Formats: sequence, structure tokens, C-alpha cells
Amino acid sequence: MDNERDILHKILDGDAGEDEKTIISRSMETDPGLREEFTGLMHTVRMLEKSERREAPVFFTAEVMKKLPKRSPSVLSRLREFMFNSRVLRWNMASALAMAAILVISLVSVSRLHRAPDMTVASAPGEAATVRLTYYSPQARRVAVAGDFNKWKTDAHEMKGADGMWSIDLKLKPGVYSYSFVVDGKSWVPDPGAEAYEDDGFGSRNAVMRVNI
Amino acid sequence: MKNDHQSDEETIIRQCREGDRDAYSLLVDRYKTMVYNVAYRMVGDEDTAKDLAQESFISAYSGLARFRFGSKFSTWLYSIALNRCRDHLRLTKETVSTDEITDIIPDRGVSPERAAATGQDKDLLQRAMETLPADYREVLVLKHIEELDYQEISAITGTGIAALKVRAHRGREMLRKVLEGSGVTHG
Repeated sequence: MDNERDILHKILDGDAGEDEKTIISRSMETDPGLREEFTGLMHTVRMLEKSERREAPVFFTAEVMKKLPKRSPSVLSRLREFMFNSRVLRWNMASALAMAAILVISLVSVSRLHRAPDMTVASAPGEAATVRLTYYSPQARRVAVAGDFNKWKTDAHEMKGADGMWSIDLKLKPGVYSYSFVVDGKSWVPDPGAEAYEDDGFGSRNAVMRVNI
Repeated sequence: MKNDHQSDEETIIRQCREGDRDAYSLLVDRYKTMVYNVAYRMVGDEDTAKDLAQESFISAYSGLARFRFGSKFSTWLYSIALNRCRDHLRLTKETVSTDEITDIIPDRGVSPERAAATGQDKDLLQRAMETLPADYREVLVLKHIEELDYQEISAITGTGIAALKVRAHRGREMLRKVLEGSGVTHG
């Protein structure tokens, strides 16, 4: 019976082979209970498939856009805008003299630079990167982040909140870290926007992040 | 292989990452019904579903830098929305891990009659869905309402396909019993 029930669900999942369908249709001819169960399951699945799809409320998009955090444009886009956007330059004699002075100083500096010894700037091994974590929770009164980078202390890294958006900048060395947000000191919430998750061993999950330089 | 739809989304995501907030409204418009419906089926309340759906989009925007190009934006968004719903359900009532449940017993927390008394405008199916444990409800919503395959559901939930099929199996059995108990006949 359990085997037949498994086949019923394989049929509902679209995984059953022809031979399994034949077994079930033969069994249903002689077993009214199985037939009734199959009909009930089919009806249940049909109700789910035909359930009403609700439209998102009016002004949904506008409300989301209003609540979005301000994001400063990236260095790349600012550079692109500076380089390629058309602009009007106004000048007068004073600004022309200032520009000429800058040009002269630059030329002198460049010629001195050529005489200077070679200098190589290298990033120190094990250099830390800044990682920004954000979490949106308008209901929270305080949010902290705990992870293997702070020995899972719930009070070591409190996040700053503004209009429901909580954020923190962490200095972390390259590596893979598990972490979780701690809301109001009691609720452990895995970062909803994390790139990966892992089992925390207590029936819940932790977020996982990879830090690269 | 990427299709035109995915390439178009990647262009929009790159624009958002470069600070173009307005571009994000295209993604919100495209996926608002999907996210709102999943949230509604999970929590069963229109206002809460709207809040959770909006918070999901805001979380996604904040985490756009972590989105991996090459994967589907909708999969990532489903995952964020379901995490939000799970957090909400965890904070508002106690839930148990259902992997250990062997008997098919409807959750005693909310009966269809009680749910009906508190929300008369809800449809019968939704009331029955609310009696299921959250992780059974989740897989039924994704499989039979959103019509996703198990591979994508696995990518969204981080749960293996075999475990998802067990949850779907138990969830359907439980839902059938609740619906029949509420007087639904196989018409």
C-alpha cells in the first residue's frame, strides 16, 4: 500500500513511468480506497494549480521605490559620467591663468618624477577588505551581526539603523565566513540576500560570505 | 546559455549597481505579482504579504552587489522572499521542523474553522494551506501554484530534491485530509 501511495505521488510529480501507471490503474480497479485517495489528491493538486493569482496592490512599485536606500554611484560610473557626459565650460582670464599655472606645475612634477628612483606600492599580505552588510527591518529596535569573525558574540558588531535599513562595514581578511543577524538580541535571522547558506547545527541556517581582495 | 530575457535583466542589474535607482522599478514591476503571491500564500494576510513583498525587493536591491550573474534573478528573488516569510512566521508563531514528523496530522494551531472565523474573505484553499507546517506549504506553493520544477525549488530553498519530494508528498496528503474535513468533495 505504501509503495502504491508512493507511485500516486510520483504520478502527481510527473515522475511515474508507464509500468507504474499500469500497476496503479490495476490496483485502483480492485481497491476503492486507493481510488478515492487518488481522486482526492488529484482534486487537491487541481485546486492548487487553479488557485486565484492576486494582483499586487496599487502603487506597490512606487512605494518600494520610495523606500529604497540611497546608493551612491560607483566610482566607475562617476568616472564614465565625468569623461563622456557633455558639459559647457565657461572661462575667464583668471581661470585661464589658473589652468596655465596647473599645467606648468604638472610638467615640472612629471620631469622630476622621471629622475626619482623606482617605487613599488604593494598591498600587504593578509590585507583586510571592507564588507558592507545591510538588512532591512523596520520593526527591529536593534540589530547586530554575529559570525565566526567575532566568535559569534552578539554585542561585538552592532549595526547602524536609519529608516529601517540596518548596515555595518566590517574589515575582514580574505576568506569564507558564516554569520547571522541578531535582531533585538534574541532572534537569529540569516541574511536574506546572502550568496549561500549552511546548516547551523541547531535546526536553522547561517548565511555564508566569501571575502576577496 | 543565457536568453534575451536574462541578458536584459543583467543589463538592468548592472545599471542599478552603478547607482541608477530608476532602473530597479523595471524589475519590481516585472516580479511584484510573483513575489506578492508567494508571500500571500505563505502568510495568508494581504497587508503582511504586501509588507514582506516590499521588504524583499528592498533587501534584493541592497544585496544586488552579491547577485551572481548567470543565475536567474527570479530564483534569487524567490529565495529572498521565502526567507522573509520564514523569518516572519518564526517571529510570529512557533514552528517545528517537519522532517521529523512521520504521522500525517494537521497542525493543531489553526483549524480551518478558526481561520474562517478570523478571515471570512479568504478562500477555502488558503485557509486549509494555513494549517500546514511552513516548509510543506512552501514546497506546495512553489511546485503547484508557481509551477516550478524540483531543481529550481531546490536552488531556491537550498533543500535537496529527495527531501522536497517527501515534503510535497506529506503536504499533499495533509492538505487533502484538511480539505475533505472541511467538506470539499471531489467534484
